[in-house]
Amino acid sequence: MSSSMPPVLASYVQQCIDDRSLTTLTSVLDTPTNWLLIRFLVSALQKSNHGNSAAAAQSRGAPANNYKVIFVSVFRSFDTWSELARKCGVNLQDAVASSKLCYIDGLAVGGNSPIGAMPLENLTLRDLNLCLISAIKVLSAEDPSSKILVIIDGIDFLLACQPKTSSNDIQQVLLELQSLVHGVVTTCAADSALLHSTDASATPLELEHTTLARGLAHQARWLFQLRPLETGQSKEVSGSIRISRGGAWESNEGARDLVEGEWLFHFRNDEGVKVWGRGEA
Amino acid sequence: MAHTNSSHRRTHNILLISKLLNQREGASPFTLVLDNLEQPAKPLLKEFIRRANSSKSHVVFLAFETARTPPGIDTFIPCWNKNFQQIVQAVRSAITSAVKRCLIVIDGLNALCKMSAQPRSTLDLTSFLMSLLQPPQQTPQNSPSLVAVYHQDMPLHTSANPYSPGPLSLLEYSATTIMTVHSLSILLAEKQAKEKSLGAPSFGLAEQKEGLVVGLKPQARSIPSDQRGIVIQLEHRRRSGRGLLEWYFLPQRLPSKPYSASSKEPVLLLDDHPLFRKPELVPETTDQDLAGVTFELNLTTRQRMERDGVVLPYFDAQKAGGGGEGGRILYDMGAEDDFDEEEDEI
Repeated sequence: MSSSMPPVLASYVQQCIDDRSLTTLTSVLDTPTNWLLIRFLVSALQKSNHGNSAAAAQSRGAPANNYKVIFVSVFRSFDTWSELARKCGVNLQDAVASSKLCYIDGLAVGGNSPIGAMPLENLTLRDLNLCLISAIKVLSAEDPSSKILVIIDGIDFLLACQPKTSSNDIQQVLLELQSLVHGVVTTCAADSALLHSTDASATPLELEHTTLARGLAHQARWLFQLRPLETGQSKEVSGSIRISRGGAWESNEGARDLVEGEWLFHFRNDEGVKVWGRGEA
Repeated sequence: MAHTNSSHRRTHNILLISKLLNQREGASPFTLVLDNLEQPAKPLLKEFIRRANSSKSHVVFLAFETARTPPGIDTFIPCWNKNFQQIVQAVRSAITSAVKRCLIVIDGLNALCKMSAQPRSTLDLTSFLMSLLQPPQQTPQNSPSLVAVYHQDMPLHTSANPYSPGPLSLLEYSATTIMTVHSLSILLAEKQAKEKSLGAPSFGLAEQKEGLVVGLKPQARSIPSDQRGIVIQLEHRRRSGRGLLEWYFLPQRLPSKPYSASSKEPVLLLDDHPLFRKPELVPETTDQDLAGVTFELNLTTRQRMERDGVVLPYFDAQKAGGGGEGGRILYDMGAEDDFDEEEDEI
């Protein structure tokens, strides 16, 4: 793990990547999940960096720990992610070039993506699904022993931009993905109107989004919830991060289970992120 | 009297939950499990599957929310990419090919309920579920049983027709057993709050806080590891129409102590759980407790006779019929009183 990963989160991120499961990150408008998502990406890429030692280990009979990442960004630009990854010590352009990372750009539909990413025809669920399947084929053809981690940022946005898409369709795509790859990490907005709209007076988008958000929580093994402080704004604290077991959590019998907990975090663009418990210094 | 009643209730109810979890012949054709994010039903489903495996039943798993085959499943049918006719087809072929009794497990009914509530849907929820329960033609006595999970915190869908009941009402009506799973730490927190006459705390989505999906339960760590598990609220409906309500506790399976092949039932009544046991009533003090005290409460025979012989005052009131004809004032004249013949009368 690089120094950019807060030590508190290291074991959770490690387990989420190693397990064959779905991990859901929820965010609120004030506390986006960008920094957390980039750390998932960076730790998966850094595992695949030890490619030479992995080959040597394989010859000794140890299992391959070679990760390839497919990163889908629905409405954030590649520059945003590159900038964040650069602060963590990883160059995304190089990773794309050496095909450790496959980037699918939701902002560059119609095939005019500049950086050699997979082309996406339209921002619809069907096209995204086709693009993902071709990306999986490409990556597993190159290295059949590698484990593919799919990271999707903003899949809930498809509910808003494509009104005919329902939460059932999105969950179908995610389940299909989970059966094809090693693990999936996805984000979901969890603002009040998008999480607590359960009565019939809510708009169709709110109802669909609530169904999707709660459905993703039920299917995830671990749930990372970012939200602002309840007491208001603070200069030293950006918000709180709560890590809970999702609906699909299972105890790994034998090994010690990770405990649920809530920590405070502070993210500064130039300094990275600090995570600490309440009451600690 | 109370003791025999409670021990009778205990044996009877534990036998019932054992019959239901083991899915004995015809015990409960359709078991509905209601859960939420605070306590998912996965441990309970694992228990059903474990018992089906040990009783050599064939387990068919209809996966609406699970991507990979869980352990102990004989037939895994991914349902997210099929329409409901294909699902019924797949289930029927799995049941006919297996010669033994079948247990059908559905990990999430919410997707189906949503489909059936669409305006132009052709899916009729009850007929779909009943078609899954049709026994195979060769062995009509081997009817399958169904265990299905419904997540209570997903938004309710009203059905397309405003005059017909919603999917959850239909499910609750047609189920023969309803098991609602609760989190032990939440029940403990509610019990502690009630003992202090405070309001019950809310967890997770019930807190209605922005960005909070699952609640933090600090009490979970204070429970000793051999007392952890899930709480099941059971409602069982018999053929006669009589219903039975009971709360049970299913202990968590510790890897160091696997279930032995013995027939002891691990499920307890919630009242028997160490943290929920009501304190026993203090038994009446026996004579031995008062042995060293000189204070004597019992009467000897002579004292009893003397007591019977005491004449109590107010003779008139002792007469049967309420002496004084119901309200008349009876006054005994004292030394200083004068009796005036005009004013006072007897």
